[in-house]
Formats: sequence, C-alpha cells, structure tokens
Amino acid sequence: MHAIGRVLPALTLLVLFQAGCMKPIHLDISVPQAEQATVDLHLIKGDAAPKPERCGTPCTIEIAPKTTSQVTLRATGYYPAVFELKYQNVLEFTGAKGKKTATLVVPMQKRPEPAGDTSGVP
Amino acid sequence: MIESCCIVRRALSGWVACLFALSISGCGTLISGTHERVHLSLSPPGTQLEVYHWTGEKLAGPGTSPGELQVHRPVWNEPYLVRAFKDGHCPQYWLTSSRPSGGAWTYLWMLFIPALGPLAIAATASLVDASTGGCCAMSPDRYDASLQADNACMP
Repeated sequence: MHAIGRVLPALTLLVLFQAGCMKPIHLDISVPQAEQATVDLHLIKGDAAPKPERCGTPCTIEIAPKTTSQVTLRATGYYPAVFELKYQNVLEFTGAKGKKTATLVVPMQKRPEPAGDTSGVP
Repeated sequence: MIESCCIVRRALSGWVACLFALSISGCGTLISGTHERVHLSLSPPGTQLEVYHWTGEKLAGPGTSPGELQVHRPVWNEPYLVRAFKDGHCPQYWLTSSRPSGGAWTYLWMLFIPALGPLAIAATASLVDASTGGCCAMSPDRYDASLQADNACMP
C-alpha cells in the first residue's frame, strides 16, 4: 500500500507531463549546400497539417502532435530528398538536445553533370 | 527505542536502494556497448549508406551494401538521418527513432519489482546508459530498400 501511495502520484505526474508536452514543435529545416531548396510538406497521418506546407530553405515549420508528414526537398542540380517526418522524431530530438526548437539539416545528393555537354563550345 | 529502530531501518533501506541503483547503472552499456551494427542489404549492390546527426554532421559511413555499418548508439534517444545513394539512382532518406537495447531490457524488468523501491531508482540507473547510448538502439537498424533508377526522380 505504501509503494502504491508513492507510485500513483508519480504516474499521475508523468501522464500530466506527457499531456503538457503534446503541443506543436517548431523545426528549422535547411540544406548544407549554398543553393536554396524548396520544401514541400504533405500530411499523411493525423489531423493538423504542418505550417507552412511549402517554404524555401532555411525555414521553420510547425509540426502538430500525433502527425506524420512526407517531406520533399528539391533544388536545382540535386536529386530530390523525400522522407517521412513524425512528430515523435522531432520530440525525441528536442528531448535529446534540450532545445525547444529542432534543427534538421538535409544533405542533398548532387546530380552528375550531363556527359558530353558541349554547350558554349564553338 | 521503536523510533530509533524505524530510523535505522529507513536509513538501511535507503542505502540498499542507492547501492542497487549504482550496481545496475551502466548495465545496458556493459551488455550492449556504445556502438551497434546496422545491416545493409540495399539494392542495387554497391549502394552506400551514411548516417547523419540532424544538425548536419556525419556520424557514420559510408557503408557499402551488402554489409554492415558500425554506428554509435543514440545518446539521450537522439534520432538520426540516414541517406542511401548510388550513382545513377534516386537517393533514399530515413529519420530514425530509438528503442531499448537488449542490454537495457535485461535489467529494466528488475526495476519494477516493488520490493526494490520506487521508480526513482529506475531513473537514476538509466541515466548512465542514456548518456552513453547503451540504453538504446536506432530503429530501423536494417535497411533493405531498393533504389529507383535516376529517371524516376526527375524534378
């Protein structure tokens, strides 16, 4: 009984803490290359779409709790970068780094130069 | 006399709890280590895989598929960004999450036996493993995707 009396308040606090954590998180998204990339976000799970749904890097996106979005980055001369972004991922990052805003730098893959390009050669 | 007996008993149980917490701290790290192996069976063969911190620094790689890549276990449950690439193919990206490592599971169950004390012991004991990464493993830790040819990912 004594142990239950100590554990129950702890569990209640934990649940309340979790509920308090379930608020939108901001994510700074950028690319390491000098070129600017366009970010498109498409909600695939959950109710609230990320805000904004399109921006140019570097930009800040608001991710709602319990959502999963597909993120697509496009830049001239690079392959598109497509991946799923879960609210839980962003929450883990802020928890690990002790920050309120998460940071995601996406290394984009450069496309090979077109072979035999003789444009500009007389 | 009864009061002093209670004080001694409480002090003793406190010491036992502290001793227990200290003795199991780092168990996950000792059992699982600070690094883990990520299995690569990506197609086509020769596809390379790199692991990045979200802040942009490379953590591991490139590792070539088929094969394995040694990656530091996620410290404080840090998620990673994984990129698979090969010339002439569209790269693929994943964001990882964390799951308890094998080493962490072996002692976690002990912490919930009521006789061993409150959950605070669990928190104390897991601090060491969380700071080394021994508590956790990245998920997924097996990559078997198939990269599409270059023309499938035109802008």
